[in-house]
Amino acid sequence: MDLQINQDAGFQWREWAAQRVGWTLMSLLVLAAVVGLLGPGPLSWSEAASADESATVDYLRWARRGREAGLTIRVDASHVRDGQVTVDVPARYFQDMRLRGVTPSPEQVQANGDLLRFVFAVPQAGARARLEFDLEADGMGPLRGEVRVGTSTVRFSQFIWP
Amino acid sequence: MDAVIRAAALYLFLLVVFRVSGRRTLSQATTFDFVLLLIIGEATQQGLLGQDFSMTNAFIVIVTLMLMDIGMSLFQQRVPAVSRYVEGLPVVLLEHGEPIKDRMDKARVSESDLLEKARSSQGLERLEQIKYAVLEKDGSISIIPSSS
Repeated sequence: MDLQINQDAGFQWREWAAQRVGWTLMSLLVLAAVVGLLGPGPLSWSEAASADESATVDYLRWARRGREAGLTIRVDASHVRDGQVTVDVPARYFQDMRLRGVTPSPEQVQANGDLLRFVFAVPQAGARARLEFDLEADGMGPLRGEVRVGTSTVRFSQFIWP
Repeated sequence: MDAVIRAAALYLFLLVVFRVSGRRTLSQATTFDFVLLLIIGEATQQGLLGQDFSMTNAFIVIVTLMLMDIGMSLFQQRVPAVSRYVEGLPVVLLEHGEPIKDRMDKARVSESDLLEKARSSQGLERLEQIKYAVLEKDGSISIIPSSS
């Protein structure tokens, strides 16, 4: 052949094959993102309940660093004592999840050993309470969450992507 | 999930905008065009990333855009009829030394553009020396000299 060219058909075919494999991997990544394995999405929106199901927590199974990953806590009327409901969360949870706000505003926040105790007013007798914790994922990797309402404990696990 | 939707929407939006604005806008990149592209990139970035500056989000957005591009090229390869809508078709602007005026006007190509390309690519001096001048899909102009 007269053409002065540095070609290698074997290498070229291997490159094309490798590209096809790469496309498949990329598709899998996008698919994982769509279904919610890499952040908010259908497989990420989860709900955990206490054993007696008197308290439930909506949380993100797969969170993303720097992004909101709030908790919605629903408490049965049975936990309301004297117009108040108390929620305990381990203080270390807020090291990986920065607390930006709580709705409704708690009447008190107490440091109770390793726990942070939030006391909410529930003026109406026999009413359920819905409490929103506005959180921003700040850590990385696996994270165990725990919310105690009275004697009921809700446990859940999360993962924060970098 | 939202990152994939945002990236896909922006890809399609940009595809339409650049297709509608016409080939010449990009091929004949002047300094101003280049600055304009940078600004478009800046504006795009905001909508693309939102408030999410995590690495995961960046990976997802990049991979989604690349996949859209690969998918679009495969789609055009399988269904050639689509190609003309996405990439356009070449158009002859000059035949046997005779400029086709209405086509050149619509394509926003002037005689001096053709002459410039004829000089730089073929070393031609006059329009009569050009057999065909073609505006290609990518916005470049091909000059085929008369074989005299």
